[in-house]
Amino acid sequence: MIRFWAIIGNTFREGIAKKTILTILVLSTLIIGFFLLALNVGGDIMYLFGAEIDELPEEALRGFEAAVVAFFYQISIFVGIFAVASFFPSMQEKGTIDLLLSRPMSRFSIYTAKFLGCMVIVFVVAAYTILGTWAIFWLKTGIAHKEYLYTIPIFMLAFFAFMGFIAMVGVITRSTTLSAILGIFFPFFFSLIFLGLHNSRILSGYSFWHNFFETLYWIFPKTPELTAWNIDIIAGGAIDIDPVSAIWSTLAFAVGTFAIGALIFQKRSY
Amino acid sequence: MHIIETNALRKTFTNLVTRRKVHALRGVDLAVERGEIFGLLGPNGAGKTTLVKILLGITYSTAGGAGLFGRSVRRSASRARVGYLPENHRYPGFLKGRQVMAYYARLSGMSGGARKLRIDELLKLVRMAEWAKTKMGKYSKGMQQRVGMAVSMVHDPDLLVLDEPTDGVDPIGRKEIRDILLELKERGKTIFLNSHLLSEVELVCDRIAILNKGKVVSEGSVDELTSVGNVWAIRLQDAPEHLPKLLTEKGFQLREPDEDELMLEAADLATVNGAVDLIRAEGVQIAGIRRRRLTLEEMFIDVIEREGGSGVK
Repeated sequence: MIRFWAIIGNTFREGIAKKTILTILVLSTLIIGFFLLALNVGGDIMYLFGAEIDELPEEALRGFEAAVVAFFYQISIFVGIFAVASFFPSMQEKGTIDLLLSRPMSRFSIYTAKFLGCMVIVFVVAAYTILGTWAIFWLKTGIAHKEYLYTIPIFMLAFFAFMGFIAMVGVITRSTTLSAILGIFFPFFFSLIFLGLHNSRILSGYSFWHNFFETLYWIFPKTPELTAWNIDIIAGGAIDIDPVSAIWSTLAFAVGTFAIGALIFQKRSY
Repeated sequence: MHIIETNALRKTFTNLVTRRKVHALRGVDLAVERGEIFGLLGPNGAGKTTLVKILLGITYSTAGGAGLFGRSVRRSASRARVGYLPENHRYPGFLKGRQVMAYYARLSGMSGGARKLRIDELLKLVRMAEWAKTKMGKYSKGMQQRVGMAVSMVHDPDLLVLDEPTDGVDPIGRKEIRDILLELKERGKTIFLNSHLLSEVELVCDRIAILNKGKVVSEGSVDELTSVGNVWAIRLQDAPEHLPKLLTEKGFQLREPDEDELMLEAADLATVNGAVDLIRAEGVQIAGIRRRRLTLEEMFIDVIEREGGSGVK
């Protein structure tokens, strides 16, 4: 296990050494700082920058939390993809891969440890932002919504799918640029497009294309649904989507892409 | 049990687009014994790096077999007792020298206090203790090479595979690395050395193999490979022009002279002494006599030319 942890630890260090991760942490600190300075509660009234909010603190807080989560998903997935897209291509550079593969460690372990190292980086960012804002909300209002903390595991599940895809593309192409671009386009934009087609009746008259896009809809991760579900949980309103199928299909995409990437890494000659 | 063994090892690279095949290794048989320093020589594109990469599980062979310590190189456990210094290594530039060593020590399974002691010891050995807290990215090529040597030795491996270990290192550093290699050999370690610096290989290696166009074209001890048979070089002072003709007339076999040396072919010492007597009888001063040897470089060029030059096919 010492070898496994060494790669995870080194990946985390590499992440810290890259300015992207620090930039996300600074952005997160700004969000935390914003609420620390701007939010105040006096009796049953909540103030934002001194302006009275026309809602009960409980409801207003849910609104803030939902807004933070919506913002966090958009920013963190984009920046997170850019932050970790270089890890698998750089690991395979001549001179680096030689030093790694010549160790008494299976390729699957190396791939998995690198993968987990990337996930740890994103987890730290997610935990810092969500726990930080949660703590500020709690300190300022005295209200602690445990539902807000569900953002961390739900976001990590969504990012697991992106990470699986980025790692797979990184192993196949060994290109940071392609990993980042395809990582955003395929699971992110295409998921949105397939969701749109799934919810519309545009293709209902064309059974082949309907089935084709419906299949792709179920193959691709359900990031938009997970985000919506997460926000619904926090807002405390009705939940419009089926979270179980969203979780399972996202998990299947993540595990599938992870397995394909690991298999290619296992078989490749460097 | 051989420390390194390859049997009819082949590696063919195929271009996926043009389907053109490059035969990097074409049936390589090698055996390296415990405690020897083995040098692998060959021109560019001969297949040296491919061979090393197959041995270390970095590249897979197309056919044939290879083993380390009696285990197939396909098993990661075969590399547990191996230290490796690649030619174009890239250690993480964001780590300091000591951190790099600790990282690769962990990757080799070392833990705790033993690791710290070993790192201190090796940093001193390669004279990098003073720079241990500087980031690798700021090191010169020579300094990176020194740390690379230390990294390859950090888990006290029984086999060291070194690809151009003195690349970028100054002459004093080279001498120090040679001394380290000889000391490791004395401790029973096996060293597999891949180097272009033939003079260095000549100084440290017990046995060498020459690889050309993916095949071993010559193998043996440095003495065996550089020996030219029964040729003696006799250095003369102010030798008269007729002396070679005279010796030939008396039945001595001469080869093409080399500057002021006569090249005498002699199957036994009596023949050498006979020639010396004749030369002295002519009143010619003898400045020295030695058994003729090729330098490793001469031998290398000779072998490669005999094989029709270098290159990949």
